[in-house]
Amino acid sequence: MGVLAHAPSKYVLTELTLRSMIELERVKAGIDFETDVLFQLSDALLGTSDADSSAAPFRFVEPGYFEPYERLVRHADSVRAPAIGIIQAYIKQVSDDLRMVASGDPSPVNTLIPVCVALHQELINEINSEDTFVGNDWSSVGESAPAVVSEA
Amino acid sequence: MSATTGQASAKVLRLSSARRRVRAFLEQIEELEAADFPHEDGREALAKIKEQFLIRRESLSRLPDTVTDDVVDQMCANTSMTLSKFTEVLGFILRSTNVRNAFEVHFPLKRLIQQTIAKDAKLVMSSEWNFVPFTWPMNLPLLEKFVLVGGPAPESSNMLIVPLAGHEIGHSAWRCEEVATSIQPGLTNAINDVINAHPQVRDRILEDVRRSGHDVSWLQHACLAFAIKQLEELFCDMFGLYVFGPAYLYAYEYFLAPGDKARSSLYPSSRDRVGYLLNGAQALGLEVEPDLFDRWIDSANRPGTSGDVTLLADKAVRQSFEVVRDHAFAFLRRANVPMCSAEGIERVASALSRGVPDGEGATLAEIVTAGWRLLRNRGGLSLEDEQPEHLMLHELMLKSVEVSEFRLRVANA
Repeated sequence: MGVLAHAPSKYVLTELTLRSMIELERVKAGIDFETDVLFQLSDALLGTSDADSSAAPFRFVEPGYFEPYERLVRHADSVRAPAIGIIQAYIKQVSDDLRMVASGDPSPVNTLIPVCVALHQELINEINSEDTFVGNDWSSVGESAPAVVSEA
Repeated sequence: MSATTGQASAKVLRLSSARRRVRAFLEQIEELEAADFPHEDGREALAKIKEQFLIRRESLSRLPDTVTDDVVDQMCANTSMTLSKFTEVLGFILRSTNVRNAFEVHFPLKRLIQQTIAKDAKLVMSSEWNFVPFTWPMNLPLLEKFVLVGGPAPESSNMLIVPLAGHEIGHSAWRCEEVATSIQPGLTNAINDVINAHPQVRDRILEDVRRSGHDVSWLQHACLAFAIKQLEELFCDMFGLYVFGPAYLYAYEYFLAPGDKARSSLYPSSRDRVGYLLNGAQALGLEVEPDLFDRWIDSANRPGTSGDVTLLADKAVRQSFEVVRDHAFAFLRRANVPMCSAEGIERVASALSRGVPDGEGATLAEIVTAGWRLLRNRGGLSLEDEQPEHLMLHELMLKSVEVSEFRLRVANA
């Protein structure tokens, strides 16, 4: 799929993750829940992680998502620095599990809630590390290096 | 309730705080709705924000009693972040009603965004206590069809910096036009070529990042992230240049001369950026004074891995620039956005120099370019005894915009 075509912003993904957490808690509590948001998060995760690399010389995720997804996989699997294929497979699994719950099978719910919590925290951290006025910074004075580099 | 003290648990109290904060925010919106809005777009932005915060209030009430502490923590963290960001937006919308703003330019700029972004796109302009012009990204789901452009308060009546709004609107166009998608295959190929063509730089970076367990994939993603952001900035520059012509260059020079800022990896270096601007001007056939960017000082790259990655990203950007430039120009041509005409600029300049506004319906870009040309020909008009002439120039430009708007409305009536 053309990942960059319809990839949601980090803000949208954060909102979807938060709302999904609430619905997953409702599934766990055995009360009514909304399925739409779980499907939307499932699609958004695929849209940001499964880049169309057919015309590209390397596999990649949507720019800006490598860091949070990479840390999420490290957090989950204690892998020191997962390869891009492992990151994409992990996100695909989360996406599939969300779809499974939304379709009426609650079995992955207990594993999904902590994953959503960790993902949401990563995204919040990413958003908070960016300037409010991300659209422009004419001066660029004193800007710190993005996390993608400062981590190294 | 706590089993031992009978008091509500920290979790319950924290959720209660989040609910009260959301309620206070909604009450604030209701107060702002009572303000006088010179343009309805500001009021509509408030309504959109209100709608979304009502959904948030509903979300807070959907949490079951069995909710885990971790989820409550995330809910509270998210509420704090969102309130923080949108409190700033509320302030922006409130200040957009201030009479210091040049309301005259709202209509031509709104037409521009409706031509290029969406027919129902909205514009909120404000003067802010920020040194530089800025925009809020359009990808906020709460304000999907809104473009928010802020200018620095001390310059709020300065017509000559209006062209920089073109750059800001360009950011929205970049997203709407999904430019990143279309350049992605070429850009990844350029990144791959550049990494392979500079084995010493590549190996130096990899030696560093391998200590954190990373491999070449990390480098590819870092280059991609930097290059995409740089190309977005260049797309916006080309957008502003196409729409406002030489006035964009003059306004750019006014704010940023003589370059020499600390290097950001998300922007081309100072000298590279003006080089790209001159390239774009040449491609459009614009007449530009050859010494406009003379003695422009370059921004020094950072040392170490960050600088090395930026170096590679810069080279990939260089390979991809013309594709982005042509994409911006083609997009604006398709949207039927006019470039300013030499005749129009000449006519407006002649009127302004005679102390009268243009009465022939010049475009905003032609009016501002003529204003800049006149100002520059008069040596800048910065001396104390030149103040009346400077003020008169601005008044005439504003009046010219009003006349053009009037003619347009009469013609379309």
